[in-house]
Amino acid sequence: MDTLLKCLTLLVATPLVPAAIIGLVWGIIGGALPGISASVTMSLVLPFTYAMDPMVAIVLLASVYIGAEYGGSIPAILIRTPGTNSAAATVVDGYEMKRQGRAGEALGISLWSGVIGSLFGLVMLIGLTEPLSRIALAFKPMSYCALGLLGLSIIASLSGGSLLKGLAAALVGMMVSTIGIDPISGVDRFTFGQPDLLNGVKPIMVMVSLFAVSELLRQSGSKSVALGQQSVRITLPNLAMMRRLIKPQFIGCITGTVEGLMPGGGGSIAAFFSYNEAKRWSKHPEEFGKGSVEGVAAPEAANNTVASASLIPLLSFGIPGSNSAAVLLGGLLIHGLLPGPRLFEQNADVVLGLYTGSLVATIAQIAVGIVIMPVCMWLVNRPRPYLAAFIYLLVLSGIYTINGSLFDLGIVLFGGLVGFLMKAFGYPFLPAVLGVVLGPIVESNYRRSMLLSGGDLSIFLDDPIAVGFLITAVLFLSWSLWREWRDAVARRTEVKPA
Amino acid sequence: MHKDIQSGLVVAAVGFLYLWGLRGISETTLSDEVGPTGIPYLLGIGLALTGLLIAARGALVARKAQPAVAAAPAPDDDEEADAPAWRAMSFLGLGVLFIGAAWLAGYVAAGIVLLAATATFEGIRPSARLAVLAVVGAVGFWIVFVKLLGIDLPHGVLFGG
Repeated sequence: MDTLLKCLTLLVATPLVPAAIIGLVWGIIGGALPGISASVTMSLVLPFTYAMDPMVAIVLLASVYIGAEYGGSIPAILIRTPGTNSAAATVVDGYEMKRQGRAGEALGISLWSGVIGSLFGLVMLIGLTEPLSRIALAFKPMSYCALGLLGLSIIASLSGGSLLKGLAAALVGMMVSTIGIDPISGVDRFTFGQPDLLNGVKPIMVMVSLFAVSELLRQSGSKSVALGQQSVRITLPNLAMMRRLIKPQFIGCITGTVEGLMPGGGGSIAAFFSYNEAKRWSKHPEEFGKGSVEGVAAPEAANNTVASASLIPLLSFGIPGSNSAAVLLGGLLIHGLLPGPRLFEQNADVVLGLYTGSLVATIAQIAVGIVIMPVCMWLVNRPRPYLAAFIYLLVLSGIYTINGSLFDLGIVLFGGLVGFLMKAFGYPFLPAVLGVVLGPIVESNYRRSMLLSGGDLSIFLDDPIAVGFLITAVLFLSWSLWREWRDAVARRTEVKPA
Repeated sequence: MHKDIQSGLVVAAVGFLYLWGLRGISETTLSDEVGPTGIPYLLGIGLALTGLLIAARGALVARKAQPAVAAAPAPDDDEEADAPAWRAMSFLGLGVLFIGAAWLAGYVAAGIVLLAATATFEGIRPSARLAVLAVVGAVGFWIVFVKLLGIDLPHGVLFGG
């Protein structure tokens, strides 16, 4: 009752509702733009949150995430081009429904299933995050160092088939985190006499460089993808249809929760997995691929559940399992908020605000989704050159506002070039982001542990939590190495003629 | 040369450069057991070794794949083709132009230049409409940042900034 009252007070006394609505609108528009993923949409607004109240900033970012997951399904259904990776599974039956003249129905099912998925994910988020984070109350420097290493070990599942490249990206990220004044000895490192580098390179700059600037560079000169001028009216499902959608939505919710909890799982895996399961359990599997309503409901419920569920490991332990969660972590760090149990103790209002704001955004999604459709269609139909120009100015302006420094713009442009090259040579981004975020945690806690023990590494063995994390990290890495080896063998077998 | 050989060698070079950069870090009396160079040293070694391993693996793959090259399709995982390097570099150059213009003439002028130049570079023909859009866009951004959000933007040395 007390919590409910606090939530209501937050709704009335703070600008949570406008932040949630603005975030939702921006997220839907960004998600609807083909090629602009949820993480890019979030990283574009990240610099703007710098001057905001922490709670409002986090609600804004979380709402963008929620909106982008729905927005991605709009071009997936209308032009067979997923706006976000996680909307790829929606293309199969969504576009088929559009071809049958049922675009409005498909968008309505996508919207409704997205709301169900978001609500389910939110319940999981509220229910699981705090109990999990309480474990972290017993953490010592060794535990934090081992947790950071465990976080870095997930690069194995994020490396897109090459563990070595993921490792290289993570090491480069950690190297970037060493730039600036060393917090323990006060010595400046890798600043080359440049005062602008004394405070280091903030994770937000790395995220904007890799997710937004490199994407602009990559897409330079690409053709416009227009949704067409047809007007589409969203039709929400009726009661009978809602009943039919319960099963695929439930499958989507469960899959989305499991994938959201797993580092590197992501919305696209959850969406395809739930599509497959929904088909397997359906009474009408023959409709799948031919415009099945269940084929739209399951993946949309799944990728929206992932949006909330992926925040559970982030808020509990500070481990972002996806690009979007990493950007949200950037938002927390900008305001000096460290995930974990202290976040729940010292900044309970921020956490409560996040839950309340996410709930507002989820419920408002139905109305905003319907109202914003014409605006969205108009914006997405603008010529790509104009969109690219405005996004470029938005990115550069946003970065300038962080420190009021033109030097930072140079860093971000250089980072964008690095991101472009990484993409071209098949190096994943998320390990680099994890390296920048987790690098200082690993380094500072390792050095504190060594100070405590006088340089004796066995102090790690005296801490059962650290031992647990280290064993898990080794198991995770071994499993990933085995999987990579197995895939390589399978590829070789395929190539060899029978 | 195989892509992994090229990228692996570059990664290794970055690792060695980073190690070389460690020479400029001084030890102080406040230094702890590990010191400010302890972890960076491991990172540098780790990156250099990883780069060499990537290059070695690339060389191995290239040697094995050689006979099949003629028959095999181009190895490209991306579903979309990336912009050519010259195009990406030019696009980046527009950002550098923005930084210079902002330093010299302030945010609004730089914004106009960036919007007009980027749209033109991406295929829009220069026209009065484009000029109006660039001015409206840059002034609009300035109003949002400076007037609505209260964030200062570059004034430009020409205008006493």
